[in-house]
Amino acid sequence: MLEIRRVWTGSASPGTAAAREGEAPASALGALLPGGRLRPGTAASAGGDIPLLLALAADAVAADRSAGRTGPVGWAAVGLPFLGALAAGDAGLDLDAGLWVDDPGRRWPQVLTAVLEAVPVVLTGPLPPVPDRVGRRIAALLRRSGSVLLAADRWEGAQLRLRVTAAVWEGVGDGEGLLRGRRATVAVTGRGAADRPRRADLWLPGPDGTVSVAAPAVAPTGITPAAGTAPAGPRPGERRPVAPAASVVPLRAVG
Amino acid sequence: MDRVLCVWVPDWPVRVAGAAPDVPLAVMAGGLVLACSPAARAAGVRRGMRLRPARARCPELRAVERDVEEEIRGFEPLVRELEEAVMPRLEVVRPGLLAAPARGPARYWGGEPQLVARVTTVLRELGHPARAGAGDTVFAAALAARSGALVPPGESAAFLAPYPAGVLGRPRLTELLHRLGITTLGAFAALPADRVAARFGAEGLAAHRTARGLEARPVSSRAGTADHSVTHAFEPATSLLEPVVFAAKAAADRLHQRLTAAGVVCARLEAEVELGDGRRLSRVFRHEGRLSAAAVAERVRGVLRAWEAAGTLAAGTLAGGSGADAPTGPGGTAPLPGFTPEPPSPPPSEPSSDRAPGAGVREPRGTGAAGGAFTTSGVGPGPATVHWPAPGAATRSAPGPAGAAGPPPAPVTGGAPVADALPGGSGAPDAPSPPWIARPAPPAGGAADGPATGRGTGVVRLTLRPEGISAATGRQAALFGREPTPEEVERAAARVQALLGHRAVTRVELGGGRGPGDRVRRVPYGDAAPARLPAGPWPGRLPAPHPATVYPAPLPARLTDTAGREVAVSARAEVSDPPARLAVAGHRAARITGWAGPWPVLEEWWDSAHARRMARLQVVTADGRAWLLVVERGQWWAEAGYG
Repeated sequence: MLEIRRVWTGSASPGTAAAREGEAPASALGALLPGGRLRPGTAASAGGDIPLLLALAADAVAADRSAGRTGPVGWAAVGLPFLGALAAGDAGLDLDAGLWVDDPGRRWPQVLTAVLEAVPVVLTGPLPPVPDRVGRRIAALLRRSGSVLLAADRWEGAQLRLRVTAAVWEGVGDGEGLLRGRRATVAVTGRGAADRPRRADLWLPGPDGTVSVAAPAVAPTGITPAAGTAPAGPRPGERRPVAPAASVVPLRAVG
Repeated sequence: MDRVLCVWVPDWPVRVAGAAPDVPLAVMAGGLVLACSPAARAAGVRRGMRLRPARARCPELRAVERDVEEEIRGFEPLVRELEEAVMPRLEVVRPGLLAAPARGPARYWGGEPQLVARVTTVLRELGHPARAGAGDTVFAAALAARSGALVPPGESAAFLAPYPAGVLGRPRLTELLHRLGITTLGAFAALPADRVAARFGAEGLAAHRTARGLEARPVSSRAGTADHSVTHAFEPATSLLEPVVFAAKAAADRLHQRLTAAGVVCARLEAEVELGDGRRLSRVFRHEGRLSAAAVAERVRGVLRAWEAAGTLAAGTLAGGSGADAPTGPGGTAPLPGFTPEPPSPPPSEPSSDRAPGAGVREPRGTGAAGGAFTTSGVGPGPATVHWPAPGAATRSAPGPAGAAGPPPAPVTGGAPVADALPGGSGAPDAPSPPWIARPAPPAGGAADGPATGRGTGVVRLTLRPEGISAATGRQAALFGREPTPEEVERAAARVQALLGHRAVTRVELGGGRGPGDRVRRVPYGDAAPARLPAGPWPGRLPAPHPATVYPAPLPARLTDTAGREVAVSARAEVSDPPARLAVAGHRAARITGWAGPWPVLEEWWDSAHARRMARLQVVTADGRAWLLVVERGQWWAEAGYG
């Protein structure tokens, strides 16, 4: 049998240190969010990017936890049968507290309201067109319950719309290596975003499945220091350079 | 001494499998013959054989795997029919075998022979040959049912004595007894009880009681738990939802106080509402001592909502699409009369010609067990009023889910001994005597209504009744895994299950496996987790980052090299040519900028039916996506997407 082992030649993998130490008020997505957090009772959309959706959900769960809740924070995935549970767990969602409604069917408004009334973080997949009346009702319900609605694709009432404008996966070469992480540029539009940076470079996901701030590229061989220490701000007008994947050989197949 | 009636439908698994009697058919469970058709039996096939010896005796034998769900589903109409036409208190020991307290019904029908005749006649009308027998215990009655015997009171031990010890269904004990030279139940029963307890422990003692014609456990624990049930009467009747839910919360509080004071927990909780016109609707929830009062109220609300929704439909039709997928678990809790569960859709494999009226709507059955006290007219008043629930709603169950929240159909194990297969506490209403007369008439199907049609509807009484009482040992905390699930999630799950069906809401259990999809198991919310696969080393498993998108069914893909030829992976795990272009179904074809692998996986090579030989490949395309591809038998599939 083949065994796959990660063989690092460089320093510690980027992102992990930041994710472990810097876990408190500011999340990796914080730079993009007004107030550094997803506010309770709001809705956000991820523009069809599932890792970004998971990052938002992890952010919302962390916000809920920092608000003083103890124990697992409940979350629900409605209409997302294809959501990767392992990735969700790595992103920071507690799988034991998760609730999956794969096919809400025609009664999705009822399902969504039932879930939103009780569960603090709700992810939704692609939904049929949302009638105005339903959208208003859900917005009111969100304000009342303080839950966070995260749409994988789009949601008319979303206060924040995030999307991945560019992304490059790193780690694989020409028949060698192993996916290590994705450097993605995430752009945000929406209310309250005017005074915030509109885009950020992130590891989405990083090598351990979490999200972290990616330093704008460095020399190919010296892999970045722990990303939390690097200045995270994107430089205006700069195209995000990408390390040529082939030059990094982080992995080899053994056995 | 109690009397027990057992009703046995021979070869139920075979009947469900739906073969003609002259076709040799064997229903297999765990590699052994569970049941076989008469033709197969004539050829020498026996229960408990392996398939190969069975085939040796009967080469044209058709073997089918057991379908427990289908068996339960197919058995449900029989149970309901007996409930309505003969006796209201029934326990399903397993599909094909029923137990019921015999004393009351026997008195009603004029004696045990008449009761047995009545039961067999009713089942024959449904097209099922059945045998019934009576005894002092369920075990004795089940054996008596096989020969159609009525064991006189007090003679169960003598009746059991000649049977071999193997009928106890405890192979290890039987083997031990054989070595001791004890081959019959009579010889085992003759042993002194204290010696048996010293040598064989609690399990042996229970078997010993069984062999002596004593009940290892009582048939129904309901009588002992009646003290704990809590009732709230509404004066005047309410036709609004919220007061009932509010009362349910208060009643659940009181119930929990009583249970706590008694130091017990209940496995199930039955919520029953009595309506102004005399009908009663009930629903059993799993409780296991872990529901809070609010959670109980929430479940009551969910069920009432579902009944309400069903009531807005025209009488006599099925309640919504989700009714069909309601798992009907008899699981030992026979629904009360006055509450006719949604008939499941008839199993396709079952010969249903003799059950022409169809499973959806029943014909009125007025003069059955109701004793004519109430006539069933078969005419609904129609959903004219705005009251809740609409009077035309009759006593149809909620669309599925809450039923599934009831006890799991656990006791349906193949060759389990009858005494063992009995669910702990279940059964029958706390007893006005005789119960089936004091109860209001079972409304006959979709549109029938009691004589009180003209009176106002609405809820007049709410009763919470605990079932399956056991000592509180604090074992429930870890029911859902390592940490208790947040209560809010459970509440939401219960409500969505009330809307969509039990299986529509799932949670995730991680297990062993190599592929990202293999490691994840979906479990219906509220069900116990299946056995986990070992954590393993699982060589060939891919490390993080894990794909964010795992397709429930892999998407067909086409992986080609620069020349446009399909890329193949050799037995030495080498690609024929570097892949250059990837086209995944539903996605635009894209140029490949990087790839890694292939990592071969050979799973269960020792089992030709399950063996899988495949190879995985990570591919990054020019549009910024990364895929996890798998090739099996020359076909590429996109198993997952990283983003």
